[in-house]
Formats: sequence, C-alpha cells, structure tokens
Amino acid sequence: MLRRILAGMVCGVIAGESVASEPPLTQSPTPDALSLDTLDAWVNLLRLDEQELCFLDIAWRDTFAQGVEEAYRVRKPVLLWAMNGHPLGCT
Amino acid sequence: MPAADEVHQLSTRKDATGDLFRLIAEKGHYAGRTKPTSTRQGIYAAAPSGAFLASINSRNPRAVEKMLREALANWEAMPESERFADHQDLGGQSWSRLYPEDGMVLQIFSRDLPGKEASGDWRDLAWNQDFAWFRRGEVLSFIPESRKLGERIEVDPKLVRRLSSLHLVDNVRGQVPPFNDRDVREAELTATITAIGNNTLTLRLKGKTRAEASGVWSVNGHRDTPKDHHRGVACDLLGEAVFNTDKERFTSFELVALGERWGGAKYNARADDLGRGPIGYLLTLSRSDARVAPASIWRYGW
Repeated sequence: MLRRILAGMVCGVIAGESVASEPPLTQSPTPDALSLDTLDAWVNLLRLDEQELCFLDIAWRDTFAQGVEEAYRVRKPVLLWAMNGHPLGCT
Repeated sequence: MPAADEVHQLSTRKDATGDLFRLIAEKGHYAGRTKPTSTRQGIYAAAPSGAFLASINSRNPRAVEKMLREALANWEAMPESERFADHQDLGGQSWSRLYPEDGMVLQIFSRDLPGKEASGDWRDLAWNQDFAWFRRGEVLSFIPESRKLGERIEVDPKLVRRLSSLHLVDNVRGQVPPFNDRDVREAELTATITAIGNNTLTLRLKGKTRAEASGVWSVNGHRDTPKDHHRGVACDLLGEAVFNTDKERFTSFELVALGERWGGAKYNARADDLGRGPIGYLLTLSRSDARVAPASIWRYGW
C-alpha cells in the first residue's frame, strides 16, 4: 500500500497538485480451478495491474548511492525510500 | 532525485554510503531509536551533501504530502554551500554485482485469493513481489536435452527447492523469513516440449511444492511473546514458456503457483489470520530495469 501512496504523493507534490485519496478496495473473483484452460485467466488475475504498479511511474534509482551521484550531477535533492526489504523488490 | 534502497544494509554498511545514510537518518524520524527495533525505514529527503530536509515513516497520504512539501521548502531555503559537499565516490559493493546478465530474471507476484472473510482494509488487496535470478546454466536446465516434441525433463531439483524455500513464501502482507532447505517437503517441476517453431520451443511447466517449518517465534511484530508456531506454503504449479533457440533465452515465461499458506511470522502481518488460506503467485519474465536482488539472495550460494 505504501508503494501506491508514495507514487501519488511524489507525482502530485512535484506537479504542484493536491493529492488524490486512496482507491476503493475490492477483490477480483477467481477463475475455475487451475488448468490449461484457465491458465490465462489466472495469469491475468495474479499479474499486477497499472494502478498497482503506479509507483514505478517514478524513475526510482535502484540504490541510494546511485541517487546521490545523480543528484550531484543535476543539482537536485535526494528523495530516499528506504525499507526493510528493497522497496522495488520484496518489502 | 528519487532513489529506493534496502534500509538494513544502508544502516549497517561500513563505507561512505553507510556514513552518508546514517548522517541523514540520525536527524530523521527514528533518530537514536533502539526499541522496539533500531530500524531506520521510511522516506527521507536530503541534500546530496547529507543535509537533512525532512523525513517520515507513514502510510497516511496527507502526512507524506506534508513531509514532501516541508522538504521542498527547506531545500529552497538552504544555501547552495550547504546543499553540496565535496563530492566523494560512494560506490561500494552491492548484490547487483551478481545480476545474471546472460541468465534470466523472473518477477514473482504474490496475492491472497478470495476465500476468507474480508478485512475491509488494505489487507484485502495486499500483494508483494520478489525477483528470482537464474544463471545461464540454470536456465538451460529447463530445456530437455533432445529438444524433440513431447520430450520431458525434470527441472534441476536444486532450483525447484530454491523456488519453494526462498520465493514461494507468504510475503503477501510483509516480509517473512525464507524456509530452510530442510523445510522443503515437496519440490518438483517438469518441463515438456509441446510445440516446436522455427527457432522456438514451447514448454509446458507442471509441478508442486510444499515447505513447512515449526519453531518458536513471534507472529505479531513486537506485540506478542515468542511461542510454538507452525507455518507453511503448499502449491500446485502450472505454466507455459517459450524458449528462443537462437538467442538461448526465454522470450515468454508464465508460471502460476496456487495453493495454501498457513501460520505466520514476526513481520508478515498474519497474527489475525493464522489458519489456512488460499494464496497465488505468478512467476513471469521481469519487465523491470531494476537490478534489485532477490530478497534472500544470500541463500543462493552464488
């Protein structure tokens, strides 16, 4: 959930916009039992959708060191998202 | 400049990167904190010099927005001389040095499936992800040697055990320790050639995994006393993949793992839901440019 919140926050603040609230919570229905006939449906259910991946709209550098190096080059501040478990992986 | 990183490594590494992170974090929201943990996780804004701007660790959108606006205001007010120090090369070692350039990177998404009473909050739509890395030789272990239609191969059991113990874990709501190899009770995966094209092999993947562990641990962060617990994940696997024989790489790989999880661990937020529940995973070729290592890369033995 923090992934989604942070994406909206950063994009909104940088653009000088007010920030949207969280989307509603609804689970998708599941396909029939896993088989070759239902495989595509299960793949689609389990794959993350665009909204879930919106945090990748931000061009996160993979490491703090890389972010600092580039911040020096472009003369900007660093925004660091640091979690137990890499935020772009399993956190 | 947005950057993401793993906080434990940042907090503990003994080099210029670690020093710079600690300079910032020790002015932030968890400065000096040792209990209940010494974590410094959160969102930090700082000048490249390490001059602190603002920080927070919150899921509240308004609170994060407020922190970002405060950081920008502090940046605007900060003299140029404070923003930039004498530049030093941060560099240093990272797991990304092991990135399998000529191998395969899978992205693994995990979700709870319907079947339990809804919580009415973030837990109903929780998901997580991880990366699984394969070296070139490991990739080729998915391909039957004869490369003939109908030929079948047992994927290297070591790889399937690695998937079961390190990747098919209940991380949907949060981090969970990997299983030990000895916890893996079942781990089999076959790859059968179902079609042959000009330069492609289509493979059907089918198998199952089961890992379970018992021991004494907490299941509610720092709010419960460690006691006897049992946790596990059991899955059926089914998928299809296309292997390009010219490039010797997979161009498509979709493996679904469906099954049950039970029990909890200290930080995977299952304290309210320790019974059996349905869980699903998708293992697919990574579309990410990120060279983020698998969560339990140290267990790969690379």
